[in-house]
Amino acid sequence: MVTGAGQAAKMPGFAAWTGVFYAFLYAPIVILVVFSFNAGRSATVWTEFSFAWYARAFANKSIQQAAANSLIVAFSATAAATFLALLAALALTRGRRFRGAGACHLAILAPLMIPEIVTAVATLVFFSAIGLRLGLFNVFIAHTVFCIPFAFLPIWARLQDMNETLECAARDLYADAWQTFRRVTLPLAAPGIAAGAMLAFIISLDDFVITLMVADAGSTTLPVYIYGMVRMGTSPEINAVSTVLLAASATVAVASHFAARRARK
Amino acid sequence: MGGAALIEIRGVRKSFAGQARALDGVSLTVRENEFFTLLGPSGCGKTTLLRIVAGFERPDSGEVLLAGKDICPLPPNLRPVNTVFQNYALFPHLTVLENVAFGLEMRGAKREDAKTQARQMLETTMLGEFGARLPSQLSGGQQQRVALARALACKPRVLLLDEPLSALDLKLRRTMRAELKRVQRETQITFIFVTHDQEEALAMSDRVAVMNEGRVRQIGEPAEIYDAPGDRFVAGFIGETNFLPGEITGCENGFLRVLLGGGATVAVAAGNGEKSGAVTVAIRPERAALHSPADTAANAENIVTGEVRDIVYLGGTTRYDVVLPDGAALSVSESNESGGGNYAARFARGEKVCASLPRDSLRALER
Ligand SMILES: Nc1ncnc2c1ncn2[C@@H]1O[C@H](COP(=O)(O)OP(=O)(O)OP(=O)(O)O)[C@@H](O)[C@H]1O
Ligand SMILES: [Mg+2]
Repeated sequence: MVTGAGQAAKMPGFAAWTGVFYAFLYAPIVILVVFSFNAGRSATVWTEFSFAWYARAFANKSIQQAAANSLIVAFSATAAATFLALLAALALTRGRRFRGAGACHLAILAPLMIPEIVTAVATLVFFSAIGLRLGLFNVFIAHTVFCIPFAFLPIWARLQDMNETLECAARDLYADAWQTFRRVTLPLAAPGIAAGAMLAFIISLDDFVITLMVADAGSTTLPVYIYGMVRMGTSPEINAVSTVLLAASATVAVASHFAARRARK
Repeated sequence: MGGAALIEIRGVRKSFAGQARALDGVSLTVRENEFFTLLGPSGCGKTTLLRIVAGFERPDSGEVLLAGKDICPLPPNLRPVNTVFQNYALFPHLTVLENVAFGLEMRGAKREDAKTQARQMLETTMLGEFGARLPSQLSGGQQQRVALARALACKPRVLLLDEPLSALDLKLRRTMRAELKRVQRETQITFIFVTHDQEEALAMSDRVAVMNEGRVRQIGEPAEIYDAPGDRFVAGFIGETNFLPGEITGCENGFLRVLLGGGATVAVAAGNGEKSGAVTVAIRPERAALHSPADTAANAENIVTGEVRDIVYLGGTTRYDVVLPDGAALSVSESNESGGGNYAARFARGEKVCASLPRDSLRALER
């Protein structure tokens, strides 16, 4: 790169373009949030501040059901995916070197590169082929699987960075393998585990394509339900639900940021 | 130092995948209460040997006995051996007190008892005030002392120290040297100390094993290693040494007669068993003495002549670099007796001099 960022910044109209870029990125979200507090039905004309749409959304049994499904799946899939990712990361960073370790590593990360629609269709076909029809449990399995690589990356990176002599020191000081893991490896890997879990949680909460394919009528999650509502025509109720989802994601993202910052210390 | 053998290492070999042997048949014995040092250049296998004794590596062959029992099958946590790691390896998420209490607790002491003992340990090592701090809040020297306290808290039979002083600055290193030595005397724990600093090894050890390329080249007390190096590597690695090529021409009254390259014949204490053929005659710079050619008549034995090529003033000593007729270099260092700012070199650059090489200070070594 010959042209540095500094030179690009001197180009005429740079500031304007930057403004346009941010406007396209954030204006729709800001409008969505603002109009979720609008008393009127219109998505373009502001009338008055109100929580009416939130009240309606929270009272809506179907939304309640979808939100509950989303949370159940997100929490359980996060727990399962993080646990499995931790085991995989431990095996790849701390275990005895084994043949095919590189291939294993690649196989864990490959789903990140596979188009989601392909995974979705494949999962759907696979579930029906083996006759797995367990409602929300199907969604849980699918989410666990696609969350694993996201949980794996920060945990693996953390374990990779961690000085292995600390574990040697623990063994040297009479800790057995389990005590070493409990008292040294786990606490030191904790920031990576927290970051991985939060990433998995956001990904699961937000997932649409795979859930749409895998979820049957009773196990719809919030994103899929919102999509259904939008097809019926927009309503500020959707704005309200979306804003809540946004707030949930943002909370987790901020928490994850701070966990990562603590990890760097 | 005639203690009983505590650690016996017998024919230990170790190689890592795709590399030359890290250890190529190491055998040595460390005695009870001994300050034993492994000395050698970087990559000679010192750390590997320590890791085998600690239990982090298993030897490919050979055995390690502790008080007569083979400990190779035991995992590190079942060996009464503790380590001070090169980079200290303090647990960053635990306070200093918790670090020191860790081993006691893992060995089954109740958490409170472990803490109490650890607190005492910190008091005796003058670290009492730091108990509540995290390791990252300590200076390098303090971390070093915590690592030592942590390893000693469990009262191991053997303490392994892997270049524990290498990260400290020179002044602190001197202080810690004395402190380590004192701790070893007081605790009566056997120390196996790794260093590549020969001065450290000579100053601290009861015995030294000099290693190179995965083998032990010589084991002995510091004076023995220094004054009677067994081979050219040991002579060159420890202190400064002149190497003069020569040829053994005979043997007389227990001394070898060696014809040096420059034509002079010198008598040499027997050395390490060389009886004939080409040898290298080794002599320390401070053991040789320079004279002006005029006053050598009285002491005609073991004299070589040469020309002063360079004079280096080093404060306490002056080093004369002399070139012998065959081109071999001979450094001679003389201590500077008189102070008072009126120093003058005894010889000038380019001056012809004679160097007497006392026969007891000469060693004939394999080339
Ligand atoms: N885990 C390992 N994998 C591969 N090779 C290794 C490993 N550990 C050590 N070696 C090799 O074994 C040899 C001896 O290493 P070792 O660490 O014992 O040297 P050392 O004497 O401690 O050196 P230094 O003074 O630099 O610490 C070196 O050639 C090193 O590259
Ligand atoms: Mg080393």
